[in-house]
Amino acid sequence: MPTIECKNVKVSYYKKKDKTTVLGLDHFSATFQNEKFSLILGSSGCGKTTLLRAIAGLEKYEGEIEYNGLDSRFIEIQRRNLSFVSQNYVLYPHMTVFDNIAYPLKSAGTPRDEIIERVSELAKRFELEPCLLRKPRDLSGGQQQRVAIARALIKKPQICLFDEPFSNLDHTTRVEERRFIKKALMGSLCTVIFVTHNMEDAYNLADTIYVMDKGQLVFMGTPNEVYHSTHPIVRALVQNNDDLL
Amino acid sequence: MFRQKSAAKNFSVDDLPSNRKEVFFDRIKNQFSVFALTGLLFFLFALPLLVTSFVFDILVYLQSTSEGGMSDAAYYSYLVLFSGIRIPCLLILSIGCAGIFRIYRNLAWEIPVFFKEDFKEGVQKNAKPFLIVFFLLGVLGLASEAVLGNLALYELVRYLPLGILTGVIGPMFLVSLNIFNLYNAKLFEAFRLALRFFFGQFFKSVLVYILVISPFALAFISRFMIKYLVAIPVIILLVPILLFAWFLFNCYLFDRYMNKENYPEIFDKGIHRKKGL
Repeated sequence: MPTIECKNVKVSYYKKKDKTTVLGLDHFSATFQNEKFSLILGSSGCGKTTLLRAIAGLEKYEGEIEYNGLDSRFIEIQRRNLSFVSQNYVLYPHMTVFDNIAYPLKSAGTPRDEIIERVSELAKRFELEPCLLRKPRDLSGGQQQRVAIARALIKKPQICLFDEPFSNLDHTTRVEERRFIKKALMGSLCTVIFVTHNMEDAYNLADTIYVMDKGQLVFMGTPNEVYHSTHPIVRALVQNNDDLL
Repeated sequence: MFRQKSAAKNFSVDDLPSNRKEVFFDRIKNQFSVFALTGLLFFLFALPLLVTSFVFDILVYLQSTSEGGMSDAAYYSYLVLFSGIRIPCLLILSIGCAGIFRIYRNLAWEIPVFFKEDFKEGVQKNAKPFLIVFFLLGVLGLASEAVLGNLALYELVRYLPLGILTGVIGPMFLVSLNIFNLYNAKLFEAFRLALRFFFGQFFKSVLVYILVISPFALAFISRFMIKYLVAIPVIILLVPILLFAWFLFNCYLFDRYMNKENYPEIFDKGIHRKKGL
């Protein structure tokens, strides 16, 4: 599974209205270890989603993003074997849950028996077995998110990118869905990069936390190190979370 | 931007259909596109039959509106001739039904439908017995109409074979199709079981049977252009739903008379009975 290395990655946007250039990522550098759960933490607008999109190949950037030493610009997006789960689920409303999860395999021409076996296995892991022949509208928000995650994992990707997948869920559902994602990704052998602004997600899920601010990496460490950090931006994030709790 | 609708609570096993009636409505609601596709397929395979019937209607219309009109003898000659022509058309329809019935089985049993593969599998498994049944239906239909066309016989006697075909043989064939669909049964064994199950629940069976063959009432529409214009949407949209209802009713019969003791693995398959019921 690949180690992802970002070297001086810069993403800028030109605002026609103001005729100004805004930096989404400002010379961001970090290494995301393979087979680890890397969590990117930061306040809204700090560049988390921009970073994720750059890694996925959905944003133009300057600098380098390497997969195991190979520049990602030389790897076609469809060959990167990565999956992306966004906060909007993006499930096909006209397809059943089974068809939604199986869609990547069906597109790849996987034989029927193998599709049924792999979907059933994931459905069991995510407790979606009763829902397989339902449409997404019949499921709760949490279940829909699980379907989106199952669909992301069905092709056994090497890289899993999660862009605030729990942001549309209430607290109780969020706790429940964290349990599922932790269970699903345990032993999955993929490099996970999870973006959130929620400290509880960080403490419960991450092996390593990368704290971002204004498009830059400001701190990196284990959840314990983050919690005890004296860095002002990190302290502000931790404090905000403690106040909310 | 599109906003995904969601339910207020988690979908659970308790929300799944707990009897065959709920299965019927549930599948129609959730998988209507599959039914529409099977309807289109059914229409395609029924097209030779429809064309044959259409040509028959045109010929009868032209003859009867021509100078001299059309005698009863001429009419019945055409009827018997086209009954014979219909036999290969029925064989074509049987191939379509062989595949379509497999899809209905998977729908009823909560097995994810892979349309092309399931259709192909159905044809491979069911084609032989379905061809035989439809062939027999065609031959018996021809014989019935030959008797019907014999104007020398009493009227009651003339209609008797057609009555037996419609009231006894027809239901037996329809039930046997689903026996072949679900089990590895021999021909006469399937016919014997079909008769036993159908007449075992006579009133329910007759009611459902009448519902299933109701589209044939279109044959009584005299204006044949209207008949065929109405037939097309009926075949595509209504016939699949009726055939699925027939399949579910047959499952109820098989469960009642056979599956619990002999085939427990498919007893109540596709149903999630509430605990305590």
